[in-house]
Amino acid sequence: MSCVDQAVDELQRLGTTLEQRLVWVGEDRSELDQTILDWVKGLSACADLLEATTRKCKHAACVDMAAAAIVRYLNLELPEELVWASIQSLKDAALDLCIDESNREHKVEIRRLLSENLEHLLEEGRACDGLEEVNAFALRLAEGLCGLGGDEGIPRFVREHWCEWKDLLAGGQLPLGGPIAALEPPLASRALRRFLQRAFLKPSASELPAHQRLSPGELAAKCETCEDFQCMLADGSSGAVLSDDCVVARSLAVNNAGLITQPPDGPLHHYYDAVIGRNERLLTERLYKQRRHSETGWRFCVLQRWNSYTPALGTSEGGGYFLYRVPEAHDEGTSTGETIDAGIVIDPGYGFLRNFFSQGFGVRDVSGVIVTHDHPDHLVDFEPLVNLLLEAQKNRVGGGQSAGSRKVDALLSGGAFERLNASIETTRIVFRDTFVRTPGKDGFKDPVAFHDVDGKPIDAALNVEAMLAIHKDASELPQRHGYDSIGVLIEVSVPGETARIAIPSDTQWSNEVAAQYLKLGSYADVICLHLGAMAKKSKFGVFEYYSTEKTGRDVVHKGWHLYLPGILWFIEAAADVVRTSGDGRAVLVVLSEFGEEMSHGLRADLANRLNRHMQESAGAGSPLVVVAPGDVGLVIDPIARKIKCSCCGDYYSWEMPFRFEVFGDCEQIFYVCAECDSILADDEKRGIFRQRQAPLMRPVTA
Amino acid sequence: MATARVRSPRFRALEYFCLLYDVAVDQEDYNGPWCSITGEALRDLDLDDLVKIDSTLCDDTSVAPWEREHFSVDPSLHVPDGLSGIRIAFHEPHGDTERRLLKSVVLEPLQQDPRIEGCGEDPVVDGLWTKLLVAKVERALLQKRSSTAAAAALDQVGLALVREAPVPERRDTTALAGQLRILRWLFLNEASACYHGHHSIALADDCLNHIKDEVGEGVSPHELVALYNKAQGSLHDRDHIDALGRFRQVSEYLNGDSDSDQYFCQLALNPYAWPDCRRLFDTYLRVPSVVQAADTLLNLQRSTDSERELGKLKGLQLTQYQQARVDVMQARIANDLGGARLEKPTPEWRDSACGRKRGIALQSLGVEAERHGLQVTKLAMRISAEPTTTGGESCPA
Repeated sequence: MSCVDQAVDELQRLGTTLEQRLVWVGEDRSELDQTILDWVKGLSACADLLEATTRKCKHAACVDMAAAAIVRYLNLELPEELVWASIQSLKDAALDLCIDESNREHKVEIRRLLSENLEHLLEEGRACDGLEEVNAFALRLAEGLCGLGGDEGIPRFVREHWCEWKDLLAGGQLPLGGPIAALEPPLASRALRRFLQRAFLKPSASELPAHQRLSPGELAAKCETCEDFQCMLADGSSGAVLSDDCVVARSLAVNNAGLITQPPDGPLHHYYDAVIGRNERLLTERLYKQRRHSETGWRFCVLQRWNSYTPALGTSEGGGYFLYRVPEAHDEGTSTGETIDAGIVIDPGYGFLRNFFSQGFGVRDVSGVIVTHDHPDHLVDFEPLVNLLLEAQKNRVGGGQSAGSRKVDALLSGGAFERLNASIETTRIVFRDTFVRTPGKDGFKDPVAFHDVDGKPIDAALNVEAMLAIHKDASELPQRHGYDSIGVLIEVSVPGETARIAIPSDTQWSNEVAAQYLKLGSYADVICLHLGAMAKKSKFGVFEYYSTEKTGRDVVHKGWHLYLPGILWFIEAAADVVRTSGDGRAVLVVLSEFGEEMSHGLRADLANRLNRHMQESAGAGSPLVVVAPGDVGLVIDPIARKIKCSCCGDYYSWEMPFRFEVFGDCEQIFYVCAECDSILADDEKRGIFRQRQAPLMRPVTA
Repeated sequence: MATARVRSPRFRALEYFCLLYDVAVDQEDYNGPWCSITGEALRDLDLDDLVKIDSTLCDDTSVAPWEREHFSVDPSLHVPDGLSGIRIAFHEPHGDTERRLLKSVVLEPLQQDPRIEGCGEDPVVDGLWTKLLVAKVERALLQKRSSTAAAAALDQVGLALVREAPVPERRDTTALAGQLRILRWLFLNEASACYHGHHSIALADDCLNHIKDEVGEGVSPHELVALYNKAQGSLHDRDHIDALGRFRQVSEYLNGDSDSDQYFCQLALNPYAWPDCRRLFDTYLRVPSVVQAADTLLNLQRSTDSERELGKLKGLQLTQYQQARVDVMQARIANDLGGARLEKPTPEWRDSACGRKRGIALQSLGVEAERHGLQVTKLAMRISAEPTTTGGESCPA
């Protein structure tokens, strides 16, 4: 049985199931609504099938079979006993639902796709010169799409167009005024195609917002420089009286100079179209497109600059992390790279999405989300991300077949789940599975199964385990169950090689916490340590107050972050385990989540001092621990144990010296390899930094 | 205060009957032979001729058939003596049989003074029992009707129950006062089951508070019913986290640990206990709690956790209906998780006895429709992934 046969069979079953369900519905309005909604959802499946068969399987029989099944699906048989006082038929009800304001976009996309596929059908018709058959088929399909069998019971939304369509199509007439047969086949086909496209896309008057129902004449009557609705931007020196629209357009042109590639020199609505169209294209790219990467394997990308728990200084770039995998190219000779097939977002805090997009990633790169605890700098962008994922799912019909049906997995701490469950619950089409881990509760150590972007399990390549973190978050859970935050230990693999990335997240120092990531023989290769601040705030100054044993103990046992002492002890513990294991694999410690008081180069300076300390401890040998300050743009290859150079773009072992250059008002850190550092002059480096500075506020075209 | 005589055998039998009736309603058994509800006035919701409960179920001979046929549970479920011979009859309707407002139709039987004949208890207690049973029948009928109007009418039944609930003197230690207390719990629980959302939670809370004040915690299994109703209220209120916690609380109380021993010990030890009824409560509360907890987890998109929750049913005997619900949820989990799970055939719901019940049929058909839609999309993607084929080539298989 071919795929088309199977799909047609499934579609028929879907229709039958819905019909059977209608029999049970009775007078329960909510069940009736749900059934109609399911029927509408089935339209997406119809569109998928039609697109697949017309574009990929050009056998007339297959296309015909699929189209017939779709027409059958659209003409749902209603049970005789189904009576609903205000609704004449289910089809009317469903179509009413389709043209409901909230569903309009979805419906337009379906119609657009279906009309596009009609084009393909018509091209097929042109090839075999069978215009009459094509015309008849188009008519049949159009009837099916509109759920029509005759004049009776015409749904409202097509009533305004139907008479026009029907007469023209049935009579073989085109809107050009002549019969189809009188035209040359290519011309006839094109004309018919354009007509059908217009017919399907053109919203009826009832679908338009009230102000759009005005005629062009009514809209453009005021401007002295306008001709009809085509209001031209007049030259100010001409002394012409400008309409309000013209004034606005001129103001936009002046104030937004540089943002629009071509200043508006045409009608105002063209200017609007240009701006809106450009932004919509950008949104579409971010929602549906995936960038190709030439580097394969796992990458760990830091998208965080400050901890920004309270984004009061205005420079906050919280963010989080993104772990992703690019598979090996299928055909190395001709391939331009592969798209990300698994991407895990970790702690999407303030500005995460902005940083994420600035690094060229898109919504479709995401296959999983991890939130370690309920603090805004770790989850505030979770809901916007979910909303984008939802948007990408909802309009996937418009995204073409490649959009498919993609879902994400989520791993959340108990507190984070309490905070976010409402948004998870209401977006069922976004989430495949949600895992909740609370320290001390059953199942805390159970494995978490993530999937790739196509929904295939990747437990062989990615193993994520929740770990204890001692950190009080905003949820009420700590009072009931102890500390609620979690850290994560992520093990990534490619054939023959494995690396571990530890993200203890926000946590107090404790031997127990550190020991989870520093097991002899299986210690983490990369550890992201969240500093929080150098020390807990004190009126006696940061360092002096904590210099005594008693106050020093306070830092460790009363604070909720590692602070400097915790960082030092963690690094020492890591050095110990590397030394004991004797394998000489230095651990990379990424210092992250700096308090915003650590500006003016303190972050890079701290990392440099720690590296000097580790080098001195190692004596003539290689340091056992390497420290790098985390910032937006730090990309790590955990398996090859390399860092990407911000200048040359190549990867170098993290055991080689890197220079951490701070550049620009926002103090972005650039990671310069020894080679670039020695070759490039300061001006050249700054030029590169300027070019590569994360364009945080500007949208980036893919 | 409380002694064994608080609950006479007849009184306990009626309590038991209420429990069985609830199980039946939950499983959409609205008109089983063990509890014949006569009359076919459902269409007009004319309850006058409808509420005749002929509870011959507790004749010794009639117990086994309904157990096997409708519950499919171990026949060792203990049925207390004392229900045989009870006959519940209601007054004939007054006057016109024309259609009346739903509200009056629902409330009228409760406002009349129907009596259970042959109950042999105090007339006040008899009257309260009758009202409670009428309310239960009404709830069954309205749930069966399951229209939007019927759901609204259920609230009216709840309100009437709250109004009719007895209020015994706090210091009264007589057997009658003891019975009235238990009836109050039953009224509040029934009202909670009728209402939706926060009203339901409030009434269940009220019941829990009364039980706690009057006999203490961990004494009467009626508090488990209240807790279950409270969880249901939270679920209707879309407070899934609370609902999950409470459903789990109920199922954990009943998981056979010593915590629940008090509920099922001998009457000599605890006059409010339900001796030898652990199995009944498994069917009545434990299995539904686990199933509802799993359902709640599914609503929270926690499919794997939901599957694990359903694993707690291992070793428990499920009724045919409960098994059908579990199957529906397994199918929902498969739809959510996708992959190879989608390849498993869906159960043939329509051919089973449960497939002829509206609630489970709607659930299963919904899951089935979702499955078919997913399969169409999946196959369309597979067709798209194939190289384009034209005239002479073979079709993608």
